[in-house]
Amino acid sequence: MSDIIFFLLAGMGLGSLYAMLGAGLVIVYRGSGVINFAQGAFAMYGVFTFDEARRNGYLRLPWFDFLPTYSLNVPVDIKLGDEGVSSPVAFVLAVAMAVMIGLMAHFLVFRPLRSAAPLGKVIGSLGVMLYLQGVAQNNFGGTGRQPEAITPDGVFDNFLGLGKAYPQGTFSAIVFAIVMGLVLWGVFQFTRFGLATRAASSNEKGAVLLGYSPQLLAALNWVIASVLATVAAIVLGPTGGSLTPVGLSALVVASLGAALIGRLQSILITVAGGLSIGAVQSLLVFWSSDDWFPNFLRSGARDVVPFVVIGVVLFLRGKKLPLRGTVEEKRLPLAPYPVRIKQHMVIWSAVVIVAAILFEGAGARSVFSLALVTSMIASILMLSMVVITGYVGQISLAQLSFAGVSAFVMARMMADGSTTISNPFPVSGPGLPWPIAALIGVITAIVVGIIVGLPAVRIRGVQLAVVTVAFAISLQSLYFENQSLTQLSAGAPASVKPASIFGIDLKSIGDKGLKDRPEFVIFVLVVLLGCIALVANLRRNGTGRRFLAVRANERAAAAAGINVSRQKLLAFGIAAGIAGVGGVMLGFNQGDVSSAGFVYQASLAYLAFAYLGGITSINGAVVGGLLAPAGFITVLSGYFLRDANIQDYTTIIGGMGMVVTAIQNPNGIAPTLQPLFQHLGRWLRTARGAEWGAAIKRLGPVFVLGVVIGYLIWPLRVDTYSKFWMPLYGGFLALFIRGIYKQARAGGHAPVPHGNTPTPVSAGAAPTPVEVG
Amino acid sequence: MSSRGMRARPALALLCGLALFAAACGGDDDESTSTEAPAATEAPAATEAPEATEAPEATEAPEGTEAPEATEAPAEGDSGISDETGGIGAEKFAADLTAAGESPLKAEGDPIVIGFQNPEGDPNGSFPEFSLAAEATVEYINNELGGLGADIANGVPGRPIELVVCKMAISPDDSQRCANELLAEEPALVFSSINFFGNHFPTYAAAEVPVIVITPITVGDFTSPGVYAIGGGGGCLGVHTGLIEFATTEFGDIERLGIPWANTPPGVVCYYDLEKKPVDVLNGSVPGDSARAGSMPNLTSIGVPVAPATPDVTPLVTEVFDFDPQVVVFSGQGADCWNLVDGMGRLGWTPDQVPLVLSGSCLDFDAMRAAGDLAKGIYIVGAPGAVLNPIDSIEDPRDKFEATIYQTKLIEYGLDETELNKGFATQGATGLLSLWEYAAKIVADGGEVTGAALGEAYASSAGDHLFGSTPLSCSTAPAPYVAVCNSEVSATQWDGEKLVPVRDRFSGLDLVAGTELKPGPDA
Repeated sequence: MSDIIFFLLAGMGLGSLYAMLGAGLVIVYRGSGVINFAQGAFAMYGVFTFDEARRNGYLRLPWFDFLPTYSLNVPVDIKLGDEGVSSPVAFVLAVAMAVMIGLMAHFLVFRPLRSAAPLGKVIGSLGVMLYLQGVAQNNFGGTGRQPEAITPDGVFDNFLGLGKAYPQGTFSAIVFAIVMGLVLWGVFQFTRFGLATRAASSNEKGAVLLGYSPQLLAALNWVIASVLATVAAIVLGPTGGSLTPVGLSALVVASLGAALIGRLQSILITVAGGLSIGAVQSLLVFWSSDDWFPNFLRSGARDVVPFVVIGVVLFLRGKKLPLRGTVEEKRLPLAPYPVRIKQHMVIWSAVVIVAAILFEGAGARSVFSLALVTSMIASILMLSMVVITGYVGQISLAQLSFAGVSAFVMARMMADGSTTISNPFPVSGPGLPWPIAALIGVITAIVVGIIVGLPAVRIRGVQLAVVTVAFAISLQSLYFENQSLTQLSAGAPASVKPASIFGIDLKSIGDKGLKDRPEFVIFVLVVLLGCIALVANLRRNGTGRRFLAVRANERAAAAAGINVSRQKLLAFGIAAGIAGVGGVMLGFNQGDVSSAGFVYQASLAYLAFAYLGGITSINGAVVGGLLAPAGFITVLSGYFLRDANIQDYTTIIGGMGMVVTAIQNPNGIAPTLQPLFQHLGRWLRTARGAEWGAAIKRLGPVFVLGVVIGYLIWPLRVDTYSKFWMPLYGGFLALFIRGIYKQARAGGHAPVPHGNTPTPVSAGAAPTPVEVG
Repeated sequence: MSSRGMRARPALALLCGLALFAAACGGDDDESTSTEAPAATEAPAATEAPEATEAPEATEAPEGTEAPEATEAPAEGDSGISDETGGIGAEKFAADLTAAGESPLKAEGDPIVIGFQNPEGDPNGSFPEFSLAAEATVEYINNELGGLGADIANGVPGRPIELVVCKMAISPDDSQRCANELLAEEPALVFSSINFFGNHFPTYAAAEVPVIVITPITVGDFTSPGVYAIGGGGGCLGVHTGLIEFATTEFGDIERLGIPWANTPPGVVCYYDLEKKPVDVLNGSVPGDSARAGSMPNLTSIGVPVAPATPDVTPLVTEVFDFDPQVVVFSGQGADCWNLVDGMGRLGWTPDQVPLVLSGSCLDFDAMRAAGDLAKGIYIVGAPGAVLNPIDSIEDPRDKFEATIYQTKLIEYGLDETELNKGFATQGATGLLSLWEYAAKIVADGGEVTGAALGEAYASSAGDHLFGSTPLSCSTAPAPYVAVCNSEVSATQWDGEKLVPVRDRFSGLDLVAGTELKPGPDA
């Protein structure tokens, strides 16, 4: 018994960090209605600022210089001295940084998103998280930091008579968390500011009528949350050992569990919840080494705790969790009615097939074959997001987990006890042919999808997103990385045998090692087209209309006789099935599947790119696929900008792109580009000499000016940007700036209102698109 | 606008499951001044010291770079570097580099494309020091060592290296993208610095491009044909058995061994097969062919899994200490090692109370210095890291020479000092210099420097010199670990500023001889 008590107490050290991050989540939620996935990233940037100032005497600012030159540069750091500064000075700097980050988050991101759809806010906070991670990576490096503790480093021998040594630092952390919790509780309970915040949280309109500014309150709450995260990480972080940009950011999942225990309302209960989660995790780790502990739970017992907490709390109390009464909340963008799908399929299929043939054995350009395949598979995965999020409005961050289930099951069904190069340990299995194995994989994904969708019957929006994240993490630990279930020893991947049909070998890798086989590209294309046809038909038929009705208003849909729960589960099943098809294709492409390919952060990335592309349309999924990691745009950028070190900025730019899209253009890129392309196409068809001359006269000087500036800047640059591409980049940048200038002069930029845009057209120009949702 | 950034904490976890690589960089503490070839190994003609091996006064800097401080290379005759202790070719290597220091030889002709696949720019795992060190080493090779296939002694230049670096995110897709992109450049050979997926090997295998793995961590790194894992200790195969060998011989007849282990997929098999099983062989509960089998009947151990990037390890450390271990061993990724040390320290532990033996993968001089007294006295098995030691503190002639080369030449050719001090940077340099050595051998034997020839040269290595590491022996790799080229380890002790040699080259492989594979608890 004493062991149990001791390990419960030992886990509260980490629990105190969950508690403080959870308290920050509650404060932000009450202040602005945002579940801030970037709360851990706030803590990370703050504690890194503290450590960097104290250790090296630098203040690293939270932005970056995309065009570093020898002379003209954006200041990204301030040198405070040759040696590190004192702890109090570093602490003040870190707090100041936290204030700045909190204000920037509010004014640059969440204030503009105040009336966005829940998904827009999720994307915004994920964008902030990515941005901070990327900037921290560039400013502080990606390796772990071991900040010096400012809490006592002694030990209580025989703590509470339990017979074991207990770190004083852990004890201090718990005390700090409890005291801070009480202070915050007092502030929000007894001060006018706290009262106003609670009022705005309950009813924003009412708060406005009482003379409070919800946005000012929100800004103050963002600052408090940011400062709290930083101070907590400085005081409590060292108990967590080595800190990394991603590791600290990831603590937000357990912290969400704590915040949900506190119903996103009570700071004190959240603190207690955080401490409890840490304690239970510690106890499970202790128990997991005992003989009686189930083998299949050993590897992931600790990670499962937040999931269980989140799932249980949301399932039992989901409908009682407070929703913020905002002045206005926009819906998701419209889901356009797909038209002329067949024509587009034929045209683009021809383009892809010709490209696949041209790229085979084309030297350096052969890399585009794999890029096409990667993009098409990503598009399949994003189509599943179009169904579940774009059509039904359910935010699922577990789509890649469904793909993983499908891929792992398929691989196991193919296994026959033989070994491979990448896995010398035999995996038993029935050795089924690929079509049956793939089918079983997809069916399994559908079943799992429906099970995961069960909480959606009671909850929706951001809360569902939290559940799906927790599910994805649990699946990772309990299945993908669980040797007792997968028989995959030593991290070996699950081998996937290549497909073949009518004697045609559909393996992805060619005889020369390059992944440029046209047969495989066409295979993936056919599967993608099948998924597009499925989703297009879904959108057109009654099921799609019911989905959109549920998305628009669940109560109204129910009143109209639609079984909302059934529609949600159906959507989860269909979306999981499509994701499962994507997982199967991932397996065929890679030749094997490993757990690292299906982590929840990958789902976040895919969701982000689907959103960038346009999450409510088929075109959006295709464009999102082109943008996906290792996809066509990435490879194209690498091909043309080889020495630009662009990968150092991709995370940052990706994060910024998500934020900008969420604010300015929630429809995504695809629906925006479409009219432009149509206009360009019409102009090219009709333009004659005079029009060309006028265009050149109008744009030529600007382009040339940009080229010249690019050429002049090139020698100043400290990196190895291409001498050819830099001027070209300057030329196009100049045209872009001109466009913005013209737009501003023409009456200012009017942001596209959420959900009120002219209906974009999916997969073709619809003459009279139907507006639904 | 494509972000490859967002990847997993579990991916990070897998990443951090680096538990296994051996950061090699070997050194010998043999103080023999003999330069004779070992009796059992006939010294190749090419290993004779060239004429021009006098210590140069200063190293000529390439254009546009600031002249470095003079590189003090040992003079001929008193170098004290021998093939016997440094591996076959150590003498020639030292002689060539010394000669090149005096008369730098520029590479000429068409470049030979060498690929380099490295995780960089991803917040989930970024190790730019690998490629930065490799690039600096390539500059050194091209500007002073005559390129690939050079005959320094006779002043005949070889061909320059064109290093094509593919920076990848921590993702299976990107791993294959890089392999595809590098293959499209038609490289003679590819270096894979560290890869958590192993799905790039089939691509190279189909093209018959040899792959040199600098830091082996996945099963594929150990078992793939056409792959040569040169990292010191050969990953967990050499390092984990070496840890047990060292812990059970260095500290007397111990009875309780604490083994916190990296709870990653590779870490599971490394613990059960190469730590727990050797302990069971020693106490006689598992039969084996080891000469030491059953010699420690009272030996017991406790294994406590430590997940990578575990936020608070004190509960885990408490469990280890409850066992009252006489020695604790751990192998993990650098940050996890110092996380564990920090957790132990917060429970009042000091190295003089209970010896702690870490793997070479834990080497991070900055972290070790920052840990202060807590790190002083910790043992390191696997990677002596001698090239990182302060030059003045090194006594062994070979270590001193190679540390001097590493610490002056790489800085001279653009490597930042912060990166220089990282274990991965030394491995990047080791990889490229090994390539240079083998290319020279191929040409000296009348061959042509091609990918196939280079692959064959690595494959046939047997006790060959490897810069800053224990010797390379790909030809003796035991099945199924056919790619493991370097399973010997050394033991050193951190004295607060440098690593002090404790035990020269040894191996713990004997502890698992004649046993059945045990990849997990149920196996």
